[in-house]
Amino acid sequence: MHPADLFMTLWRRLETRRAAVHALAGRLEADHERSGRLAAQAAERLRDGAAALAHWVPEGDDDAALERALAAAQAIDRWFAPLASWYDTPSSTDHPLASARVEALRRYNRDSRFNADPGDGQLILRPGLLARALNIRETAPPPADSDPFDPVDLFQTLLVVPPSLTIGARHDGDPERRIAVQYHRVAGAADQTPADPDWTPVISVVPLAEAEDDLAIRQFRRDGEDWYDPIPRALGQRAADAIAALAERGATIVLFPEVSVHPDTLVAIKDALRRQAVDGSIRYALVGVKDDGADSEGGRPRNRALLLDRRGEEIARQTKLHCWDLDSDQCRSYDLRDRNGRLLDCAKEDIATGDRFTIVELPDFGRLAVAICEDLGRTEPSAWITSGMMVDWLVTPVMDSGLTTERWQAREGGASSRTGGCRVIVANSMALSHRFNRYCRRNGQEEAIIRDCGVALLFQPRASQSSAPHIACLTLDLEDPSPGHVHARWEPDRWPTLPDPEPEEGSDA
Amino acid sequence: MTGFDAAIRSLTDGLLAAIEQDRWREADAELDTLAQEAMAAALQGRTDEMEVIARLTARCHTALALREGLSAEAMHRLGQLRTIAVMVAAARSRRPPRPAATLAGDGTPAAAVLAALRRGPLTGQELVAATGLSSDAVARALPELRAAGLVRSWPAGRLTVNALAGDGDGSRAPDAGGG
Repeated sequence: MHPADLFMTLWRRLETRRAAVHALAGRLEADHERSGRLAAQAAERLRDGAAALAHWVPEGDDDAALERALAAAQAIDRWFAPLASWYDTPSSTDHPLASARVEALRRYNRDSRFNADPGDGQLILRPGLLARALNIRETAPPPADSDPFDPVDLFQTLLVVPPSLTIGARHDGDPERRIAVQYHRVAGAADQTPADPDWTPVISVVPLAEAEDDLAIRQFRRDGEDWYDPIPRALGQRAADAIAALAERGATIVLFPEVSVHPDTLVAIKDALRRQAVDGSIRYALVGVKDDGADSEGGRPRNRALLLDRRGEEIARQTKLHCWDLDSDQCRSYDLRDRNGRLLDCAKEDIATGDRFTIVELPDFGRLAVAICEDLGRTEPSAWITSGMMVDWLVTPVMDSGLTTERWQAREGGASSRTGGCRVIVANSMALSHRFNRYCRRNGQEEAIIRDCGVALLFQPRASQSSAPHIACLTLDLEDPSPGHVHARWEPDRWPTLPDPEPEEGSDA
Repeated sequence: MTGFDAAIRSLTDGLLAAIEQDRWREADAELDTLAQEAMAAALQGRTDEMEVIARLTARCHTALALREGLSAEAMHRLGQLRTIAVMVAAARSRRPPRPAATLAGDGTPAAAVLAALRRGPLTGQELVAATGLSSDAVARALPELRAAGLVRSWPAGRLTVNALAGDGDGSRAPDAGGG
């Protein structure tokens, strides 16, 4: 028996008895000597192998059995710790578990999980690559009695990625859905070291859609309802020029916002990435596209983010999980009218939503999840990501008016970086800001007119419970958006702190 | 560009040229040199040189992978380049902890943590309070202190308790490993 498979057995026991495990955790948190003795006993059994440790844990649901089950699972969690550490730890080839350690690494590299049975989900290392030298969780305040209990928090090194998650409806009134969840470790010839605490990648955003018509909004009626559908213009040369310029400026990753990239532009982006692949700095590009929907229900388009490597090869993709349906205020703000010029009361997003959420681990960048626009604001999967604290980067491509440190993206991004310990990046285009300005001018709201258009928000998680995240808001002049891209080295000490959250807004998603 | 950088660039460019012209014996000799330099830099902890080798090995791998219609012989060398890149990346993905004397030096966060633990085992949050350091600084110091064998830790519910290695109090608790 491999320790990882024993962990999964113990995990299932602990999960099914949450209330009792919560009470047990509370008792152990108050009695460090007892917890120390249990930990020592479990570690001693584990030195004789997983089978010996399993034998030490009695069957049954009584407190004594549960206590040993928890101690055994935590012993396995600590046995895995050297795999998630920036610092070398002494090891020995004649250790009884040396072969199990090799087998663990072998499984992780081959299958992106330590456990044998994929039906149980994926047992992975909880810290991402950026968290290998600094574990902020262990200096967090002790949990309050009122805090929701999550057995995940009993473990520092290991995390179970479930096979699926329940998420909210795609439109108001639709039922909840289950989506598949997948962790995927990308292999490659890497030259960056994200686990190095001194590593400072350069993040860049190319809004691409600079004028209103660069990302037109088509409206239509179907089944008695109003729908909208963004149409990106082919801007291949603009995209290629931006990639060439950013490759010279040291960008590590280039982000193209939600649905900003026309199919012809995607071809140009891939070509431009290949041209810089050998001597340029760009390792990855995340590209917001609208697929034609040939494979989707009803032939509806899919709103997607494609992750490309330095050679322009697609290595991962995320399809938007939730629709952004516009209410009357939003239709007014973005000047959405029917063919007769009447402002719409509401407009639904015409997409087929995704049924899978993917977390990728990139050797040159760290662990990354993508939450496309509305997906950042919905409870799931964003809440699951942040509670697990397992990703290094949460990237959110959006299509919205200019980003600021007060709007919804800052609120949601700030919340994710406050609770999740992950860095959050929001990337935006500029087309909707022109629509918003038209609305402002028509209504005499000169003070609200967007001039410096926020196209990127970068959040660094707070360093402690009492401090705030740091944030950078990168802008381009809406009337003269040259050079058409922004970039910043990840140096949060130079950024201001995020203001306290504002009350809920009603005017945007 | 340093002399070492220039030398490795010349080596990898030579490798690409040899593969381009089907000079396989020469290509293998270049690969041998690259692997030997990589291993020597890793074993001696020459981090600057490992950075150079990682960058130029990945560059060479990318340049070769972009070529169309690679022969089986060329694909074989592409695989060898990838193996060298993986070995260098593995060597760069972790560091040895600093010596105990350095960590315990006056005025460092690690020294403050060790001083606080002399009064008995403490959780991470208790260490923040006892030392006056930020959560960030304590969370950064603990993994290195454990890897250096100066601190050992054990779980207590959702908390992690830390003690000086070799302390009588809680000394039966296991070492935490490097995490």
